[in-house]
Amino acid sequence: MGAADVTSDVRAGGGVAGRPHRELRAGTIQVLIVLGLLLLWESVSRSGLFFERLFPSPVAVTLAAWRHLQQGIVLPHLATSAMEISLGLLIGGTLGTLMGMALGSRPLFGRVCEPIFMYCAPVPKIIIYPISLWFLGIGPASKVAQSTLASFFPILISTAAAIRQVKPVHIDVARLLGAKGFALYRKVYLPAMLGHVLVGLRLGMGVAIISSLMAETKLAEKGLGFLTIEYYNHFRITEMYSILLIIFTGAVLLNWIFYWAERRLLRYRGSDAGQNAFF
Amino acid sequence: MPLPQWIIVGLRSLVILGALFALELMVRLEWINPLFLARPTSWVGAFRALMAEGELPKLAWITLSEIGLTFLVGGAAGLLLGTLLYRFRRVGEASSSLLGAMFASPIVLLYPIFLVIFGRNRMAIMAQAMVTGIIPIILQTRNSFLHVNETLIDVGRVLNLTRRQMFFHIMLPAAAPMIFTGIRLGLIYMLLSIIAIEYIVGVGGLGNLVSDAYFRLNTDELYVGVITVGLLSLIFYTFLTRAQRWVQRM
Repeated sequence: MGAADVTSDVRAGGGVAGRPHRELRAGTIQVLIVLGLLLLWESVSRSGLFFERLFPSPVAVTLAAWRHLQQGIVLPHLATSAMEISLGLLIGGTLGTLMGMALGSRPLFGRVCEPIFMYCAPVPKIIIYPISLWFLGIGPASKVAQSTLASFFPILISTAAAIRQVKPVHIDVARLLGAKGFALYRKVYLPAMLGHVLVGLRLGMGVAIISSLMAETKLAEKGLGFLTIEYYNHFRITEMYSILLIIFTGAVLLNWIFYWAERRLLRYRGSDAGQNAFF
Repeated sequence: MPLPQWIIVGLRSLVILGALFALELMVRLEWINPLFLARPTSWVGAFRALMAEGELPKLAWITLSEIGLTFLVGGAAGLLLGTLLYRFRRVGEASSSLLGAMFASPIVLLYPIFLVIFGRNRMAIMAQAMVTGIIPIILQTRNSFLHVNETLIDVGRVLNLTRRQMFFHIMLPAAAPMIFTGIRLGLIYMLLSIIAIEYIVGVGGLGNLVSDAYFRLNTDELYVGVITVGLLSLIFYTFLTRAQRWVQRM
C-alpha cells in the first residue's frame, strides 16, 4: 500500500465523512452491489448448475413472499411472533431497566451482583429453551420467556451503565432542591440515561426477535420461525426463502424505526447515542 | 469507604451458593417438579458420569473444533476482506453500510438455507457461524486501518517505506488492537451461533447433548449440558476480554 494512498485515505476521512457527491457515489455503488448480487443469484439459479428447487430465483422468492402477504397466509404467524417478541421485550425491558437501575445506583449491590449478570449475558439463551418448554409448554409462553430472557441482559447492562454516567453534581443539585426517591429517578436519572436506554432497547429488540424466532424453529405450533422450518421440512424451499425474506425485511425495518426514534428523541440534546446503529 | 475486593468476592459467592441452595431446597420439597428441574447436587453426579464415559469431553471437543475451524477460515477471510475494503475505499464505504445493515438483522435465522445447501450436518453449522462471525471482523478491520494515527503514516512517508513495509511495519501494528476487538466479537458470535444451531438442528457437540437430553427426558444430563455451555461461554468471554486488554497494552 503506497504511503501517498494511505495518507490521502486517512486525510479524506477514509471515506467516512465525505462530501455529498462522494456520498452519492457510495450510494450508487451500494445499489450496484445489491443489483450485482441479485443478478448473480438469478443467473446461477437459471444456469441449471444447481437443482432449481434448492436454488430458486430471487424473482420467484419475491413473488412467493408477495403471495404469502397478499393471501394472508403469513399474517396469523406474523401476529403470533409479533406478540411473543413484544411481550418478551416488554417484560425483559421492564425487569432489565429496574435491575439495571438498582445495580447502577446502589454501589454495593452493583459490585456484588453485576459480574454475575455479566457472566450470564454471553451464554447462548437458546440453550435454556428446553427448560422453558418443560415449564411453559410448546405454546407462545415459552417463546415469550425466551425473548424476555434475551432482551433482559442488554437492557440491564445499558441501564446500569447509563445510571453510572449521570453526573453526581446533577444528583446533588436535585437533592438540594428537595428531590428524592422516585422523583429523583424521574427528574434526573431518566432524562440523563435516555440515550443509553434507547440503545439498550434497540439491542434488546434485536435479540428478542432472534430468540423468539429461533425457538419457534425448534418446537412450536405457530409463528414465522415455525413456518420457515415447516417449509424446510416439506422441501418447499422457495416458500422457505420467501418467509426468510419477510423476516429480514421486517427486522431491518424495525431496527431502522428504533434508530430513527432514537435520533428524534435525542435530537434536542445533540446526543451521539445511537451512533453505532448500522445505518 | 468502599469494601475491599475480597469481601465483595465473598458476598458474590454467598449469593451464588444461596441461589443453588434455594434451588436444591425447592426441588427436595417438591415445590418444583423434579422432572423439570434437577437438584444441583444431582448435576454433580450426572457430570461425573458423563466425564467417566468420556461423552462430555468428546462433545466439548466437537464444539471446540467446530469453533476453531470456523474461526480459522472466517477469521482469515474477514481480515483479508476488511483489508481489501480499506484498500478500495469507495467499495469499502458502500459495502460497510450494507454489511452493517446485515449485521443488525437476525443473520443466524438463515440457518435453514445452509441446511438446504450442505444438508443436516456440521458443515452447515460451521458455514452459518462463519457468516455470522465474519461481519464484525471485516467491519472492524477496515475501521482499524481507517483510524491509524496520521503522524505514524507521515513518519512512514518520511522514511520512504515501500507499500509492503508501510503495511507490515506501520499500518498493521497500529491497527492491531482495534482489529482484535473485531476478532473477539467475531469469535463470540461464532461460539453463540455454533451452540445455538447444534441445539436446534440436533447435530454436533454440546448443543446436541442438550437437545438429545430434552427428548430423552433426561433432566440431569440436560442441566449438565446447559451448565457446561454456560461455563464454556464464560471461559471464552473472560479469556478474550483479558487477551484484548493485553493486546491494547502492547
